[in-house]
Amino acid sequence: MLKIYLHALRNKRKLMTTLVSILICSSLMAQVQIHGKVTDAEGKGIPSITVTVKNTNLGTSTDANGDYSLSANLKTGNQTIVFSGVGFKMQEKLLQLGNATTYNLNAQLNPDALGLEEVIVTGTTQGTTRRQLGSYISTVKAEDLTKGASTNALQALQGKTAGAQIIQNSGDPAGGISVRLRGISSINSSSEPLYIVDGVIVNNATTRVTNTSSNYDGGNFVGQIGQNRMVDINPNDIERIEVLNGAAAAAIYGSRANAGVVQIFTKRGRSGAPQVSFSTTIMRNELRKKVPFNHSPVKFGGSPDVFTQDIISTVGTPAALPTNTTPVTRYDYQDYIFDPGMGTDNNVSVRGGTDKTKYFASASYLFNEGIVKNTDFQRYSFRMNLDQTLSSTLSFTAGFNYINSTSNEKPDGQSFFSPLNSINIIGNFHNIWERDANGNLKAVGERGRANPVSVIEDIKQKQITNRILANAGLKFSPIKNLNFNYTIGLDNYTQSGTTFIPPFAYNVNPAFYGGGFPINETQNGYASAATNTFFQINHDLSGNYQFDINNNLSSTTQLGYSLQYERSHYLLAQGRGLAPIVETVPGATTILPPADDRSEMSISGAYLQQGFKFKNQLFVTGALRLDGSSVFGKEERNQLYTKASASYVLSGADYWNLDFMNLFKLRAAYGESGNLTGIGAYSRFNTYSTTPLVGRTSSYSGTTLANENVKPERQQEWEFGTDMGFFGDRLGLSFNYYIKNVKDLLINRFVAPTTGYSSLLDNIGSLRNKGFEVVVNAAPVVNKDFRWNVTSIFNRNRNEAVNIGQSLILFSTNPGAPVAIIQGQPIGVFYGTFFAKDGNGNDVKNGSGFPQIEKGTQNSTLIYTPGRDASGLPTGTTLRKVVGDPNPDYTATLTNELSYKNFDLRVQLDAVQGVDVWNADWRTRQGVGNGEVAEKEHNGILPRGYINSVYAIEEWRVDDGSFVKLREVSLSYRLGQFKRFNDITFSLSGRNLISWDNYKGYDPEVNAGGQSTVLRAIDFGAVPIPRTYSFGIAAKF
Amino acid sequence: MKQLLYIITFFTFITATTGCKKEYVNPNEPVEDEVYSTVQGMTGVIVGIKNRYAVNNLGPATVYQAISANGLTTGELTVLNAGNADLAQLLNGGNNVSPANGVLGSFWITTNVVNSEAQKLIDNSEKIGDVNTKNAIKIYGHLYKALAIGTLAMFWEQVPVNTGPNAQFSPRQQALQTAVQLLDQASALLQGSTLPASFLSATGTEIDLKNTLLALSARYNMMLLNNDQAIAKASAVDLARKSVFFYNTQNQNPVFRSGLVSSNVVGIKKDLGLPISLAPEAGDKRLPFDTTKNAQNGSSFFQGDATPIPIYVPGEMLLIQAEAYARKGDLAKAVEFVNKVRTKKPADDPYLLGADLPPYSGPLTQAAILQEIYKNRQIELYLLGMRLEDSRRFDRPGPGTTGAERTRNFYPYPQQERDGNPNTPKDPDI
Repeated sequence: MLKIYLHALRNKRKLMTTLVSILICSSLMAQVQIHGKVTDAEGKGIPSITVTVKNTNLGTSTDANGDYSLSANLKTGNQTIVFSGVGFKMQEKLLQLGNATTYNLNAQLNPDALGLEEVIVTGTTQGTTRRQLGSYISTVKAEDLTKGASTNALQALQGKTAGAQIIQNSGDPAGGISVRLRGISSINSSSEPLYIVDGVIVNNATTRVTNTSSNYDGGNFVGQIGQNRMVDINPNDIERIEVLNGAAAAAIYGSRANAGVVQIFTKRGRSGAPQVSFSTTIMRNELRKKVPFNHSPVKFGGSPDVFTQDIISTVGTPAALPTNTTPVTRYDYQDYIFDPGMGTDNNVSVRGGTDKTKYFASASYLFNEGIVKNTDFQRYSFRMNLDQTLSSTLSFTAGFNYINSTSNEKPDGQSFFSPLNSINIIGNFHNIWERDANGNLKAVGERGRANPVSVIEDIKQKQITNRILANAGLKFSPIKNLNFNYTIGLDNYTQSGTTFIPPFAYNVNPAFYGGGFPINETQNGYASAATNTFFQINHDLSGNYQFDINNNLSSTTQLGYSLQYERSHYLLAQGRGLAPIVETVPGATTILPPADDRSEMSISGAYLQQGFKFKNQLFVTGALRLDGSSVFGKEERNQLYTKASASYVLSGADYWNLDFMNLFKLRAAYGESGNLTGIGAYSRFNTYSTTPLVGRTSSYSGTTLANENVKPERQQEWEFGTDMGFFGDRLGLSFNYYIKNVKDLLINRFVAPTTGYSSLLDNIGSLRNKGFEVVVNAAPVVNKDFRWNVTSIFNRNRNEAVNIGQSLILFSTNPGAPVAIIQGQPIGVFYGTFFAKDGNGNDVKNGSGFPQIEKGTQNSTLIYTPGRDASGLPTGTTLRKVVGDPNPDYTATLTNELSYKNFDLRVQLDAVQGVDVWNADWRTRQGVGNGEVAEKEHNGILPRGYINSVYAIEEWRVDDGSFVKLREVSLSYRLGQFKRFNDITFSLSGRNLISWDNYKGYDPEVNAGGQSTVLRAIDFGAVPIPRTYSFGIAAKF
Repeated sequence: MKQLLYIITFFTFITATTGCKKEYVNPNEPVEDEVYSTVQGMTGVIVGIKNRYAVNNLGPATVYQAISANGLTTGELTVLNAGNADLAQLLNGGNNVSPANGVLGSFWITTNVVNSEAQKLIDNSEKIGDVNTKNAIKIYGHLYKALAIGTLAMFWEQVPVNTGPNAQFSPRQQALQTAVQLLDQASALLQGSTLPASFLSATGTEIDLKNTLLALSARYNMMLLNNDQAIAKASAVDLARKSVFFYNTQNQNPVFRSGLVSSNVVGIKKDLGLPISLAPEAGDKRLPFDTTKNAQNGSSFFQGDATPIPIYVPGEMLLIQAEAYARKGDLAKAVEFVNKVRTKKPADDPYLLGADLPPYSGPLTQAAILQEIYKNRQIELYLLGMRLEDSRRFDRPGPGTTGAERTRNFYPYPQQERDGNPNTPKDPDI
């Protein structure tokens, strides 16, 4: 017994000794200081270059002049110092440490046009360089994000990353932005990528706390309108963004990565004297283009007060379009609702630290007015990032970001009491400013429309968000080549909104929260208050081990575990029929149904990733991820995703002898990922909802039968690509081809109602995205004073609904857009009625010269036979076909960067081609008589009744949405050192300056469906994207 | 040693902050098993079925779609906006009525879901120990299941009696027979039970169970031409009692709110859509009740958001007895009941619906009396969803014949049913 005990003790002691020697490594250490300068090929200092001691946690980065200084306790002998930074090739330098205490080590880095030596973190085993990657990952650096007069990180990303279609859906100052990486990846849920900021999974939901009423959408499908929460991230805090386009790269993110991953890294501290950066920008936002309006001196029919909709309304028996006219004064209401907005963006930050403690702290204030009167957005953001070395093997990081944002809004586009639609829906012959003897506004005609003056002056909508993002991490490197990483991330926000529509003094339709005529006080006016509280926490733990099997072959193993939990709570109180003055819900006579939705879910996953590297030429990686989530059905609780990739750098081989081509790399990758977001926290259950019925509790089952064994939509992606560098990387080319298949697509499929349900939500469908991306970088001129860089990106994606379990799913939408999902067609096409054409492709016209709607026999969803009667006019049932496609043929970007001495000029052109927009507003303007076609009918240039004859033909609303935009222009002048300042830069920027398009509305880059996956390219009362000018000064001291 | 402390602290922290729960209880909505495990859950379902059947809260209600479809097919209603294609199809009838018609589609969905939910009540009532409560649940289950089957049988030749995957269809006579059985069983249960007061306060008493079960049994027996049964049931109904669906400003009368108020959907007809031979007589006080529009276009049982809609009216019970006697050949009795309707003063009717006319003075032939009964049904039961059934039973001119009074005999089966159920019968020719 004693013997055993002693033995154990001895062993334990031995173990302890070993452990201690591993952990503390106390032998032969010396406190040294290493400093130097990192320069580019022309000898200019490069800021933000990371300088690290290889195989340790020790490191710093260079300051604005390229200088660095690093104090560390290091083992004597040979040490490798690594210099790396975005846009430059990584360089390793050997440093012989002897008895001295200070060392000078300079480095000159070569530009890395293709970013091959960039360290990529997202979806890879720790710190892989791009050279090794088997799939395409793009990186965008800070300088490129903040130049283009944008105030939103996603907006700033437009045109800067391949494979992404980034659309600003609304021109509101906090307007929603959607990001589609390689097309749509779902039907039933969001297609927005997963966002990670410093290891924190950041929620990017669009939740309506304003525009709250359910009958606001009239039971229709309005999409995802409003702000998405990435608006909270201050672009000035960002160091770089990594974008993973597809499953092949994103597989280790498992069930959340179907739509790709966007990882954002914020700025961090560096050792050295504290550096204060300050920047201030002043902005002006203005309407880029006005739409034409009717100037005709007359209207049809009688007084505007009793007959406002004169173009398409009939009178008399038998009903006929009136042809008599009444003289009217016409107004341009655009001058009233639009007003240039001013804004400021102020940032101050301090970064600094010692060799063990580094910090970055920033404060920012943004205020930006919209182009619609009385709309604005304000954001305060504070950030603190801390890096602390605890010992030679342990380091700690922490980050904290507090954001408070406030926006003053107007009702969203998809209603007829939004600013844009309030002027779209009325004839422009009403003096909307006129008031009666009591000072009240007057009704706009007899149809119960909201007066635009009420919308601009009286309707109030406000949204306030308080958000905290926090992260903490620990890195432990017990022995050489082995490290463990742990990150905890937390995202917590409360979004609260209020809406107030005061009772109208005149006839407004109850559907627009008026009281009708005679005014019903119990319906007149609306108030709501809503809050959405969201909490998410994620833990990520990983271990990495790297070792050399022999001189040529090395291995990297990563084992990880991740756990995520989220909780949300949405509360809404609302009512209509308001007492005067009262803006809150208790003032309502008719209390409308409240909402109180709570949800909780968790997901956990473990992954193993193994990489092999042969001679820095051939790289092979394989990974497995096993996920489980509370939202999956019991039988589908665990989901396995696999990934494999390989890349071969031919130019690194011994036989390579093409001098002009310095790089040639081939890569291939396969990966799987899942989509969790399509499944609600409890959507696998058949539940009973409750609603009061005349004072009693009523419970009812939904008409959709839930699948208790629901599983995530699963994506399988193949990606093949190449990277090529010519003439010493003066010219670079990357090409990617991909096929993404999404199977187990969740579709709400109709079932026979005699089952007791109308539909079944099940994993029955599949869709496909196929396409390619080309990125060309060139540096045609590089010399000491003048530099010219060109970057161009070309993306083409083909989307197809492969199987949807039925031939057609047609959505009923507010703007009347016949949005459809049709087997074999791209998702979200417009499927509707169209113009009859003769054999020569000309419109078939009747005796009055009016175009005709096509009729005949509809043989199937896509096949029809037109019918003609004896006089050659269409006959039969009204036919439908695909009349438009909101998915572009291609998107492209061309960026030119020129720098001459201290001047920098950056010009970015974005193109989106071959896209159709559902221009509901343009057609409405003709129908109510304020548009340019109506003017022709009023003036007799078009026959009376022309608009009425084509009004019902849905094809008439399809507009050409292709454009080329002068997206960003930025001119800056670096004054350099000036008095006590280290660096002063002046910049003048513009955004969305010019658009070359044939679009009949304000701006083809629009979506009234917000961030919706299937409602795309719909123009219905959405605020156009403003043209923005900005002037800024940035200083460092 | 400090190193070790760091690591211990770290692992304590990580263990304390993580957990791996995979089951979360939905606090917003109970699952089906939970709902059907308590009495409160089931009273909620009873009110929920009423909500689905009578209010447009959960999709178009059966009451709304039956009144609209019936009204358009038989000319009780007119379409005010020809752009509304589904309504225009029903108005024009014949082959214009597509299996994809939206009105028929939602009518079919809602009513079959009502049948399915009612069956769940019947099945789950066995879980309840207290006999009175168990019977109460069963009675409501029977009532709504019978209403669902009976209503569908008025518009389709074959209807499913029991819902489920690949449901079987029964000929309408058989289905109506089932409805009658369900109602009569419920009446028997009601007789032997005392429904708990707390139960009735949860479900509401605006539907008088005893009289509603009898009245509906009388209605379906009449459709089956079971004359004696129809007389027995109809004569047992207490004509002073009302049975209605309640509405308010949040749960609106669907025909008023969705149909009439906008003056853009459907409109009532001043002549009730009747041919001259059946035109209401001068001084018939039911005509102003049926056709006088208020400022918001409301009329009859659809005056405003909160106007209740009756499940049956007393006049229907009198006319059922008149019809059954007439069909049996007892013309004197038939005239007696016709006169009860003709001479009823508005003040004597719980709904203030009365003709206040002199007694019947026409020929005492079966044909003439049946026509008088038909005419009175069309005035007394205007816009209550009965005319298509009546028009067929009284052999009024059908579609395609001269003076056609209806544009379809039966409706085609909804496309969604045909796509999902191989047992869907062949569509009727017209």
